[in-house]
Amino acid sequence: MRVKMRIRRFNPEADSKPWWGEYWVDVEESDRVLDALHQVKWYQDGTLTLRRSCAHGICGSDAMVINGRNALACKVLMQDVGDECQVEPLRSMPLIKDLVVDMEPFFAKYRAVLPYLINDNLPAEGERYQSQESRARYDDTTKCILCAACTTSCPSFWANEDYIGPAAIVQAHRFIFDDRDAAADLRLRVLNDVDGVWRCRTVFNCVQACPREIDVTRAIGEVKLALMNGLED
Amino acid sequence: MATSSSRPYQGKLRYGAPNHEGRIWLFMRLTGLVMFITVVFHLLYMHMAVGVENITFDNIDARWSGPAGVFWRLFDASLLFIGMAHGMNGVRFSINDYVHNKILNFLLTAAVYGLGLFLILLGTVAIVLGVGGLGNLFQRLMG
Repeated sequence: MRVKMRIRRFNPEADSKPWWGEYWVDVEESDRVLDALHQVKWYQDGTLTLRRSCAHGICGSDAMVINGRNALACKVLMQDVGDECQVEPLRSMPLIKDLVVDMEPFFAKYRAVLPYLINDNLPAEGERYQSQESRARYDDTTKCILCAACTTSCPSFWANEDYIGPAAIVQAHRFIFDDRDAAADLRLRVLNDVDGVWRCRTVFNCVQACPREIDVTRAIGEVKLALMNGLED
Repeated sequence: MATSSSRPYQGKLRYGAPNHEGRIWLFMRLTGLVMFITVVFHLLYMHMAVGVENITFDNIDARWSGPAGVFWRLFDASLLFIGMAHGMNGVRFSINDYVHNKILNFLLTAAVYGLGLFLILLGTVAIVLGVGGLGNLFQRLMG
């Protein structure tokens, strides 16, 4: 199939503002948007800059806005985007070049929720055992690959970049509800802020955007309830 | 960066301490639920049972001064207070989301609160004094 690719371009050394580049590519229906972008970069315009690594939906580096929706370019098939495919960098992030945005503000928020196991008590038997039920409690939020598709799809984040964002809350949820971890109170203190979970307006854009199909708004709701009621076993 | 908490996980953490924003979140949820019932009832009653064409000054006056007058005044008061508080807070949310200039943010929030309190006052006068009472009050105020 022949598809018109409309790609948001920006070269900070030459352009004063972003512009739309248009390219025609021949792709298979089973090709992904990433393949179409490769066609442009490899055969038409080598200056097109994008970030991608594993190209199989695991590393989370090629999140972008495809036909208005946040998605991973390596997971969206050309047959599902139609004859015209519009690709833009993630919204509300500092733009570096073309489709590449500066992820540092995003990772700063990720670090703010202490996304690692904290427990000073040594395990009794050499390792920390966990029941299947306890593991299932936070299973959904372990799937996050930090692609930023959710956070940059959130109108609260567009309006106010101080908002910690759904991705950081999902990562906090993964440890808050892990019964081997002892620092839930530290994380909840970070999230109990006007720019923490309370800026979430339950718009559900994050749920639509998540390429890992995490129930993001539910996770945020569970953190809100933990703040209201405390945590229970 | 804080790297440790020496307190082991003990099932129920003591952190159930919502702050101001948390309490407002709960308030919005609860008033939303209450309004879901009262507003739907209000719509069904006024627009279906009474009929839009019959909602007049006299109709409301009769309802408020009839045998169930106290109930209707309390019901309308709940719509007024809960609706205004929920709505004003919703506008405050929007202002906080979008207006980052502190002075403009304060002025807009103050304007919303001022307008909201004025409307609540107006509605309260009507509910307490009755439909005609409001007119009489205006007449007296105007001399």
